[in-house]
This record gives sequence, C-alpha cells and structure tokens, in this order.
Amino acid sequence: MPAFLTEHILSILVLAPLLLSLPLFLIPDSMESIQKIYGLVVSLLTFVLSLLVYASFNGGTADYQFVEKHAWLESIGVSYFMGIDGISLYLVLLTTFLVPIILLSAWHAVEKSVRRYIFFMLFLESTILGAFLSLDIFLFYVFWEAMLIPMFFLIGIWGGKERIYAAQKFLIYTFTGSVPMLIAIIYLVFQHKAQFGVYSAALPDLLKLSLPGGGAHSVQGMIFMAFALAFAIKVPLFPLHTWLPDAHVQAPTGGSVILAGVMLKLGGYGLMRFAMPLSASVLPSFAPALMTISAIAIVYGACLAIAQNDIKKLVAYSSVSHMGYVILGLFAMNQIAVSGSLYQMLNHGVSTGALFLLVGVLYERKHTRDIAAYSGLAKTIPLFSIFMIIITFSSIALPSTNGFIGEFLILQGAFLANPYMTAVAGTGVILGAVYMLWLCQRILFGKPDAKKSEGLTDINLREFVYLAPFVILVFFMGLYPKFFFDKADASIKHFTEQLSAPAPAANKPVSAAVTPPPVRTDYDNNH
Amino acid sequence: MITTINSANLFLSHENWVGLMPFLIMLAGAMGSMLLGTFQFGHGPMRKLPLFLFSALFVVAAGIWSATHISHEAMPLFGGMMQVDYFSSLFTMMLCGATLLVMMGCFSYLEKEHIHFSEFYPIIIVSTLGMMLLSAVTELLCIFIALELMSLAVYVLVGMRRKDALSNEASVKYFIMGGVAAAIFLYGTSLIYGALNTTKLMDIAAVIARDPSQLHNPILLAGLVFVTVAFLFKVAVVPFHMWTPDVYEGAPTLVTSYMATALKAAVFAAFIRIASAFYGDHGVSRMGGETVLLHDIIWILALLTMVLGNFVALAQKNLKRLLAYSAIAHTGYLLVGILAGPKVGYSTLVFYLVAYIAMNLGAFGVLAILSSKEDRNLTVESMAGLGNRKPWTAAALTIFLLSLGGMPPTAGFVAKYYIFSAAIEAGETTLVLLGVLTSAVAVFYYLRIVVNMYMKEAGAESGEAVVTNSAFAFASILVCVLLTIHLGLFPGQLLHAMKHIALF
Repeated sequence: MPAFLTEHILSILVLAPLLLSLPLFLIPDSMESIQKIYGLVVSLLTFVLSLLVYASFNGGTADYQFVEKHAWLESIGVSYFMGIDGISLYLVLLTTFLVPIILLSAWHAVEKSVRRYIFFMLFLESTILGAFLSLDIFLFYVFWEAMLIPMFFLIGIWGGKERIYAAQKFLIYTFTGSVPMLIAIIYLVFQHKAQFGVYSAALPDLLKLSLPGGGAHSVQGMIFMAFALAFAIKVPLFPLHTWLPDAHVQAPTGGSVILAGVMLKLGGYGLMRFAMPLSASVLPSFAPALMTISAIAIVYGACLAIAQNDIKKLVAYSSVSHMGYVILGLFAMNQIAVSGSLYQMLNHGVSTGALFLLVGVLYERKHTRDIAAYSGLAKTIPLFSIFMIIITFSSIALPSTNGFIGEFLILQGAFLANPYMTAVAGTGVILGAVYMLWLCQRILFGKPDAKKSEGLTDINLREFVYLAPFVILVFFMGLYPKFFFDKADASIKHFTEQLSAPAPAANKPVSAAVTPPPVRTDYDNNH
Repeated sequence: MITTINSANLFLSHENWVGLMPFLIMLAGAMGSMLLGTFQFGHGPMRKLPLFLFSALFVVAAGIWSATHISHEAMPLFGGMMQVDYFSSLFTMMLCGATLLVMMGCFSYLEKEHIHFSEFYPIIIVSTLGMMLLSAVTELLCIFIALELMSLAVYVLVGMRRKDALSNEASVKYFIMGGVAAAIFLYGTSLIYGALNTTKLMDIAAVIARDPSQLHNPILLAGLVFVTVAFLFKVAVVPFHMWTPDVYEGAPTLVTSYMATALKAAVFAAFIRIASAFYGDHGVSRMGGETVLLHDIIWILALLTMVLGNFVALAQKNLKRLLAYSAIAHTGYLLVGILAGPKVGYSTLVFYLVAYIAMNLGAFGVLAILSSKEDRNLTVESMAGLGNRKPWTAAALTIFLLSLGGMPPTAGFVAKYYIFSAAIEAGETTLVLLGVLTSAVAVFYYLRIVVNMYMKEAGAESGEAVVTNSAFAFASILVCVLLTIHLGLFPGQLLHAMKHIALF
C-alpha cells in the first residue's frame, strides 16, 4: 500500500462513506437506478478498504495499529485519535460487509426518497465505523451520539405504521442513557489533569489513572455504572430492552439489519473497550449481578420470542436473548468466555442480519409479517426455505455452524466463573431451539395453502446474491474459527489481563503496553 | 465620592479615539441611515437596497474596526466610566455580526410584514450601539444608560408590526415589564452607592478588595441582588421570564432572534463585569473556597430555568413560543457558565454565546422565510412535509435544531460540552448532571419539529406556506449553517481566542 494510505487508512475508511455520499445529491431524481448503483459502489469500496486493513493487520500484537493522532480540541485534551486492534477489526469488517448487502436488499423495498435512504445509510456507516475506531473517549462519544441521527431518520421515514413513536423512543432512550456517560467522560478528563497535569481524553492515558476503587459506591464504581448504563441500553440488556422490539418492528429491513447487526454490538464493544478496563478493580463486585441479569435476559428474551405472532418481533426478542450471552461471557472475564463473546457478536450480526433480510423478503411479497399468514413455504418457495433453515441452524447454535462456537465458548468460560448462572443461561439454548424451530415448522412446513401462497415467488438472483454470503459465513465461521481468532487472540488476551490486574498500581506495566509503542510525535500538532 | 466632571477626564488621546471608533461608527450609521431613510429610491422591492447597504456598511465597519484594533491592554476612558478592552472588542464583533445577520435575514421579511424599513434599520443600529456600550461601560449609571438605549430601541422593534394586535401587545408588555426592571436596577444602584459611596466598578472592586467584610453589608448585598434581578429579567431567567413567551411570539420573527441572541449576549457581558467587580477573580463561582450569596441564588435560578424552559417547551404548538421557551432554557445553560467563574467559565460562556447566535439566528431565519403574514402559520404541525417541499430549507432547519438540542457534531454540542466541563471543574457536578438531563428532554421537542418535516405528510394547513425568496436571507442562513458546523468540528481556534478574556 502507498504510504499515504497506510498512514490514513482508518480516517479514509471512516470518512469515505459520508463524503462519497454527498455527490448523491447531484444525481437527479429521475436517475434513481444510478443513485442506487452509486451507493452500492461506495459501500463496496468501503468494504474493500476494510479488507485492506484486515490484510495488513498484524495479529501477533495487542497494540493498536494504523494509529492516527492529531490534536483537536487542545484546551480540553481532546485529540483525533484512531486505531484498530483485534477486537474492533472484526466488528469493522462486519459493518462494511453488511452495508452493501443492505443497499442491495433495499433495491425495490425502498420506494420513497431513495437518495436520502442511501445517504442516511452511508452516514450511519461512517458514524458506526468512527465509534469502533476511536481511541479518544470524547471522539467516541461524538460518533456514538451522531449515529443516532441517521438511525432516527431511517426508522422514522421508511418505517412501518408506528414509525414515529418507535424512532422517538429509540432516540430518547439512547440519548438519555448516554448522559451519565458524558459526565463520567468529563470527570475522567479532569482527573487526568489532576493526576498528570494535562487534560487528556485519550484512552491509553485514561487507563493510567489511579481512581479510588473498592465497592460499587467508589469512584470507579460510579464510573462503571455511568458507562454501563449507556452500553446496556444499546445492547440492550434486560430490563432496558423495551425500545428494541418497537424499533425493530417499525424499522425498514435495512434499518433492522444494521441495528441488530452492528449497533447492538456497540454496546458490547463499549463495555470491552471503555467501561471494563477503566474500572477494572470494581468489576468483581459487579460481575455476579451482571451475569445474573444476562442469564435472566437470555431466558426472558427467549420466552418472549416463543410467544410472538409477528416474525420480526420474534427475531427482535431473540436478539435480546442472544445479546444476553455476549454480556454473560464478557463478565466471566476469562479468555475463553470473552473470545466467545466477541465471536457471538459476529455470529449474531450474521445470523440475525440474515434473518431480518429473510423476513424482508417475505414482507416484500405479502406485506405481512404475521406467522399465521404463511405455511408450507418449503413446497412453494424451496430456495427461500433452504436459506431460512440454514440461518435457523446458525441461530440455534447447531454444531458446525458459527453459532455453536460462540455459545459453546461462552458457556464453557462462564461456567468457570459462575456455574449457577451458566446453568440458567444454558436453558436458553433449548428455548432458542424451541422458538426458531417452531417458527420454521409453522411457516416452512405444514400444508401449503393456495390462498396463503398466492403471489409468493421464490427468491430472485439479486436476493440470492446478497443471501449467499451469509450461508458461506455461517459454515466458514463454524468450521474454521481459527481464521478469526488468529488475529483477535492477542487483543483478547490483553483485555482479560487488564481486568485481572487487581490494583491500579499493578495496572501500570499492562497499560504501558496499550500505548502505541513509539509515540509517533510526527503526527502530533500538525493538523 | 462622586467625581465631578473633571476636564482631564474629558481629554481624549489618539488611542482613546481609536478605541471609541466602533461606537462612533455605529452612531454615524444610525444618524446617516435615519437621514437616508427619508429619500425614496424607486418603487420596487429593491428600493430598500441603498438603505440596507448603507446601514450594513456601518455595522460591518464597526465590527472590522474592533477586530483589527483588538488589544490585550485594557483602556479606561472618561475616568473609568468606560473601558475598551479585549472583552468589549470581542463582544462588539459578536454583536455586529449578529446584527448584520438579522438585517440580512430581514431584507424581504420587512416587505412581507409591511414594516417601514426606513425606521427599522436606524433603530436596530441604535439598539446595537446600546448593546456595544453595555459590554464596554464600567459605571453603574452608564450601564443603566446603555441598558435603556438598547431597550428603548428594542421596545420599538418589537412593536414594528403596527397593525398586528399581538405585536402591539408584546411591545406594551415588554415596555411595562422592562420599565419595572429598570426601576429595580436604579434602586439597586442607589443602595450600592449608599453603601460604598461610588458607582464606578473599578472603585467598587478596590473598596471590596481593601475591606472584604463589606460583602456582608446588608445594604450592599440588597443593592447587588436588585441589580442582578434586573439583569436576570432582561435575559429571561425563571421566575422573571413571564413576559418572554408573549413578547417572543408577538415580535417580528427576526427581532425575536435578535432579542434572544444579541441582547442576551450584551446583558451577560455587563453582568460579568459587575460580578467581577464585586467578587474579584472568582466571580460568583465556588472556586474561591466559600460560596457567595449570589452563587446560591444563581444556582437555584439556573436549575429552575433549565427545568422549566425545557419542560414547558415540550407542550408548545406554536413554533415561536417553542423557541421562546428553548431560549429560556439556553439562558439556564449560560448561567451555568457564569457559575463556573472567570477562570474557566467565561471563555466557554462566550463560546456558547457565539454558537447560540449562529444556531438561533439560523433557526429563526428559516422561520422568517417560511412564515405567512403575521406568522400565523408557524405551528409545529405546519412543518409537515417540509422535507419534501423545501429540502434545502428543511435540511438547514434540521441542522439548527440538532445543534440547539446539543447533538454532535454541531456547535451546540461542543458549546454545551465546554460549558458543562468548565462547571464540573468549578465543582458544580450536581447542577451539571441535572442540566444535562434537562437537555435530553430538549432533544425531544426539537426533534418533534424534525419529525414533522420529514416523517409526516403535508396536511391541509401546511400546504400554503409562503416562502420568501431573498438572496440576503438565504445568505444569512447559509452563514449560520456553516458556522454551526464549523464550530462543531473545529472549535479550537475560537475557544483559544476566548482564553484571553481578562476584565480588570
């Protein structure tokens, strides 16, 4: 790669979708298909860029790579600081992978203001990538909040009947949840000034802070709660999940895919990147409670999913259940479970993303998501049913699919930390099979009804093109997980080490390793 | 002792003239445009052009003069009655900029509302002159004169739609309430004079520095509280905000934004000077170690203002009323900056004012071009479908509203972040927590407008929105958009400039 590209590739990756989406406004409305093709090209270009990052990523180290640092708001120590490690790498790939698929899936589904749809989707991609890649906590917050805007429009403009209610609920919930996080961020920046004499919002600097630890009422405990609230709402963790079914059911297919596929991951990612390392010493006092809540979320989400009549709602509640595993694994705080959590985040992005797309395929044809409106699809639209079955297997974690690896690792690791809650969570695996297989039984099998199957056509080439990659991923990730762990292991190991460091004093040598090794002073202050 | 007029005080050196020049330019502008207004230039809509350009020229000249002659040295004038310094120059630039944007935005709005433009331009210049003086004078009676110069002009501006009952009501209401505030201010001044035997801020500061126990003198404290109340009245702090919704609704749209931005900035400038005179380096903040009386009063009022402003705005249907309550809420955030004190708070306060001028003038500018006669159609519902009818106008309004709501990456977000982080540094964590929570409420009502613009179909009443096409109005909105985004992405420069604010 040319030097310019290597040095700025993360910035290019973040800005490309947003900046390249602006020319969309020059393409007249009469040339809608050109707009769609242009949007697809931009998103594919971003995907290729992220593959370039992946290809030149060095999996042997836990250090941040492709680091870029420029002074931004000097007076309060905020910098434009980006970098990638084994944890964010795959989440970035997942994001760039899903966006072209979403645009392809929306080809006919989105009828009004196509240009704006593409613009908001690319805008959203930029902000999500920015959040995954920020190493400055203020910069992260900017992206974190900014992503609400495009998502709000995506749900509110192209959503279903109750779209406005859902969009507002989504926004208010997440915005309010972030307020304590903002205060915690400001507090940390001032603590850095108090302890080291300069303001800094850079994550490696903040990790060096020694904050009073102890119980939940200590400073670290408060900081953890402030961050965890924002992230738990995003995940969403029971009982803060109530915005999710509304948002999912009302969002257009593409909105649901990106929401479930990537945005929920930001909650888990935020915990891994910021909340847990910043308050490592108080985690043992929170872990049992959070593992209990996750176990409840797994079972509760699954039970609710069983009771749904609406396919999309069913998938939405299954997300609550699946994301419960992620949090369960994270708070087991050992290498196995955390690896499983990261893997489960990717799995969930793949399987739930695909499920929402499949629901979208049905909805485009029959304009209903009622389970009772479908039956015997295996006979009438066999190709669709094959996809549906494979994705279902992935979702219920059948061995040889990706879901199995993730859930197995989580349960194995969590068992070491908290066997009782793991036993409760384990029942979620069975419940997951219940709601998914029952769904398949009701819509795929049974007698095809002439009235019900009227107008149903099997998936076309375009749909095949965007669904096939999911099937490939399901088996590839299920059969060859080493491919992923090769580049993530070092970072995960480093993450768990950070957490086990008991006191801030002992924390120092570890966090020294977080700092990008030779501080590249040539980047500083040259903006 | 009161200084009798001393001829030495009246002598002005060359530097003094240079420092006074922006004020003289504005004075000349006011008089010149009043004269020019008596001539008629043609009959078309462009007949306003000469007068507009003439007035704008003076406003721009005053702004550029203070920008080019800005100095870190404070220059006392007239024996300490007035002081031209970095602070006043900064405010002069800010006020001239805001006035220019208002004048541009008004260009065709005046036509639509049948407002006599030949009166409008001179009066707005006089009012801006009053505001500029307000940021520069350092003697209580001079502050009163500046305050009245500004206010009297604004009373007239509010009532400029002479045939509109609402506008008249607003003007009279504002005049009467403003008169009461002026009386309170004068009463406070007399008490302060009675306690300290001087009305010059410099002397007040010196007396208190010599004898800090003066701050426990009940007469002095009563005077200070009275003066403060008068200021709080002008910037519409709860519970002195009662006049605001009616006046903001009744006034011509851009006059409303002029009041909500420029006027507020000028009054804050004067208040900052008074607070510094009384409480020295730490102002009313907690940073001096002990909390002062004014701190507690402002703390409570700031909280009330943020809470009431935001929650009442939730229930508003009329857009101008909604923005009026939002303006009240923003005053609450500005008060948080006051509480953070001179060392950390004032630079962020001025930054907030600049950001607020950009986003608020922008939002009202959009309303002005969308309004039908007498603003009858400006309801939240009437915005339905605007995103499709007027995509660019709607996009601009969306940016302003997101900024007002404090969403990144806009100026409003950075400004709030700065002000809140300054307040946390000053030890006001509780207030900040409550303040940020109320700003989450604010997002809801700003977004309701966005929801209507983009997510609802145009209804029956919204179809006939009159859009005034005016290059000047569009230019002013464009400037506001660019400023809102620029300050959101690159706030460093401006904030750096603010760091040099030193008062005495």
